[in-house]
Formats: sequence, C-alpha cells, structure tokens
Amino acid sequence: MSLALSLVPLLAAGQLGVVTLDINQASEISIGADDCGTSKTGTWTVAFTGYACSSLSLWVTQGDCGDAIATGDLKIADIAQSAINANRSQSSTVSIAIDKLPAFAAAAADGGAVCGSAGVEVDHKFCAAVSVYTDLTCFTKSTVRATTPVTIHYDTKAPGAPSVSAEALDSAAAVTVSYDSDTESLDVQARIQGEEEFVTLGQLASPNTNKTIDGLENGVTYEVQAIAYDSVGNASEASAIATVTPRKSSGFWESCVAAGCNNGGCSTTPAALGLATLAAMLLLRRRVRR
Amino acid sequence: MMSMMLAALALAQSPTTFPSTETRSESPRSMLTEVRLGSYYPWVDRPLDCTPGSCPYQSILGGAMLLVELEVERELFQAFGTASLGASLGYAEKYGHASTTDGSTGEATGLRILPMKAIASYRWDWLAHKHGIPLVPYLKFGFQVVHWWVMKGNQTESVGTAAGAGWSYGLVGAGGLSFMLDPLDPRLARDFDTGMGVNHTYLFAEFNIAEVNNFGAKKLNSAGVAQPATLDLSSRYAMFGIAFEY
Repeated sequence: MSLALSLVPLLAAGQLGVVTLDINQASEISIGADDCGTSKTGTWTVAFTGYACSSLSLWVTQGDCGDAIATGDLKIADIAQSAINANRSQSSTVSIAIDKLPAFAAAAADGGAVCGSAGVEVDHKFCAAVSVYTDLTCFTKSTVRATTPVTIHYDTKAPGAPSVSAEALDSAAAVTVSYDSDTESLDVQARIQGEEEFVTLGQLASPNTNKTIDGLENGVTYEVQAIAYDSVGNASEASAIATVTPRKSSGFWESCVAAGCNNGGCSTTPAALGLATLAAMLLLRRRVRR
Repeated sequence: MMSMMLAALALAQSPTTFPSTETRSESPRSMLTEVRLGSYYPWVDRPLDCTPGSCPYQSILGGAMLLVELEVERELFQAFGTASLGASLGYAEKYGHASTTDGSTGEATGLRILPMKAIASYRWDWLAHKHGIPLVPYLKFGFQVVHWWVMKGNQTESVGTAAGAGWSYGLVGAGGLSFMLDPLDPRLARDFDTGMGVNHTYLFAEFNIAEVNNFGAKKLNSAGVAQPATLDLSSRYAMFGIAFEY
C-alpha cells in the first residue's frame, strides 16, 4: 500500500505512455464533396513504459476529444487491452469512412445535409484514449489521450466571390484581385467584349493579388473576371466583370529613340575590353614594395 | 569637408594622436576595398534633339539615381603615398511611368545601369602614416564601361529592331578626401588589424567626373542625321563611402 501511494505522483498522464495519431501523415486534412463515399486511413502509434488498463479507443467527434467516446461520436476501433500490452510500442492503421462522420449522421437523422451537400463547413477530430498504469494491477489508472488529435476539415462551402480591377497597359492588362481569407488560389479569366466564353489566362496563389495578362491587342476591350478556390477546390461565384482596353504607350526607350538615342549596336567590344581589364586587375600578382 | 579638416587638425595636435607606423607594428597592407553611394544623374538628354522639359530622361525618369559601387584596389607602390590599380562594379536604376498621347500611364518604365571601371589611383597617405594627420587626399583616373538596359513593364523595351539595351564607355576621374578613423579609437584599430588584418578604415567623400559616351561617337540615322551612338551616361556627381585597407 505504501508502495502504491508512493507511486501516485508518477501516474501523471504522459509519463507512462504516448499515443499519436495522423491521417496521411498529417495532423489536419481538408476534404470535400469528392471525398464522400471514400475512406481515409488513420494511423495510431503507442509507446508505453506502463501497461494498458483498457482497450485503446479510437473515435471521431465534432467537439473536443475528451477522455472517451461520447454519444453521437463515430467509433472507429477498440484495440484490445491484451493486444496493446503484448507489444507496448506498436503502430497500426484504421479506416475512417467520410460518409459516416458525426455531422452527417446527425444531419441525416434530422433529414438535413448529408455528405456531399453544398455549403457545409465543419471540423471533426480524430481522437484516441487509453487507461494506463505502471503494472497490470491497474491499481490507479490514468488516461493517456492522443498527443494531437487530427483535424478533419470537411468543406463544401465556396469562398466568397473575389473582386477584380484591371488597368490598361501596352498590349497587356494589370489585374488586381481581392478575395476572402478562405481563398487559396484563383483563376483569372478574360474574353473579348461581346464574346461568350471566358478563357483562363492565368492563376494566382494566395497571398498574391496582382497578375499581368500579356498578349492582348491594343484598342480591343476585354472583360476580366476571377474565380476563387479554397483548399478543397470549392469554386466561388465569378467576380463582377471588369473591362479594360489596352493601349499603346511609350516607355523611356521609345521616347529616347524618338529623340535620337541609339544602343551602340549592342557591340560586345567595349564589354569584352572592360571585362578583360577587370580580370587583369584581379590576376595581378605583383609584389607590393613595403 | 571643413569639419573633417578641423577634426583632423585637432586629432593631430592632441596628445593621443595616432601613432606612426614607426612605433606601431602593423600587418602588411596590399589591398583596399571601398563601398560607396551617391546620387547620379546621367546626362542622357545632353546630346539629344529635344527641348528642355520634353527630353526623355527628364520628362519620364526625372531625377537622379542612387548609385552603389564596390571597388577593390591592389596597392602597387607604398612610399610617398600609395598608388594602386583597381576595379569596381556598381548598380543603379531609375523608374518612371510610360506615357500615352493623353498622359502617363501606370505602366512602369525605367533605366538600369551596371557600371564597371578599371581605375588607377594615388592616395597621399604620407601625412597620415608619418605625422598622424588622418586626412588622405586622393585622385583616381580610369576607363568605364556601362551596361545599360531599359525596362517597360517586366520586359526589356524594344522599338522595332532596336533593343533597349547597350553599352556606353568612356573615361572617368575622381578626386576625394578620406578621413582615417583609426585615431578615434587606436586600440580598436589595432585589434581590427590584429584580428582581421584591416590596417586602416576610412570614411571618404569624392567628386566624380565621368565622360561616358563612347568618346562622342555618332551614328547616322535613316535620314542621314548624326545622332549619339549610345546613351550618354556622362555626369558630375559626389559619392560617399567607407574604405578598408588591408
């Protein structure tokens, strides 16, 4: 008894074992409608100095993990106590069916959204817990939880529509896009005014906001729009259309040529002469008179 | 410049003047490296057929460039002063806005230059080394080659077959005054020499004369009119910097 009491301070969680989880070697995954009907493979790993006093419970919940599976959570697996104690450092995998995540089970029961419904954005946690003790008497148990539960971010909610402005350049347009924080990338599209189809002329990745579209024809009016995508690939509504008409402009060189500038024929002679002189300086090894 | 000279005289007369090389054991010195900055306004418009206010550099780019240069010199003669040969590499750019018939646009256009010099220099450091007066006047003379190119948007601008890039070369000269920092903290200066091999550190100011226009070479245009063969990158400008002699 006195021995058991003296061991009580050692029973703090984390000192007798560690449980880690991942899905595809990540601590957070994002999934969308395309993942409905599929499963994700979760990996659990235990490393114990003590002994398991219960099965290793694995589940998915919408809230905080807690110490045990709760009503409404999705049970993934129970790894038997004997199996854990037989090998106290081991790893294995489990399958998590996306269709059966708690948010969809509750919604389906209410006749609400199911997996694949648009406009849903919900986080789940992949959790694990097991009771441990220093020996198999399991005299005083403590609970070891997964060090970092894995977040399963289900998102079929499209990002907000971006807004676009376009500035006319010479045979080009400078497009500036603003978008909400959910956006990860954008397609910048353009069409000649009056035509039907937009053509994607470039992509932007967050946090960039500027894109130059080259190869346009001066004097022709183009309509420009952008479509935002989040990390799952949900597409926003197209932005409002901005119009731009590229126009001829003169840079410094054109103005200079008009006033009589020349480029010397781009002769390489002076360059070669200069570089040879510089090289000669560097190679100079004449001793310095002291 | 005047305050620099007064400070030098005060240091020369104070009891803690910089010890001469006869009493200070220093490491051999054979090289000098300078880093300098200056405001450089190239005279691109000088030879052009334009009226003031409408000339391309003035009207589009408008102002001086910040020129940054790194120079390395090899000291060849160290008796009554120090004579050296060296080379330098610099960079400067100036941007403005492209223009249309109804005014300027938001499209950027700019001139970038990469000056390279081969330099011969003479520094009259005899007073500093023999008498502890930490002022070193100097003269430089050399040949300069400048690679330049003109940007419009994110590309080199071209007009027909004439690319907005080329070379200009010519002669350069400079005169300046260096202030030796060592007397301000002789112990630190000795440690800098012992630890890093840097004998002396200077702050300097110099005035540059550059005639970089392919020696005034001309080229006939299609109408038979003589035009400058390349950009005239001549100028008169001051530079300031720090030098390490080692």
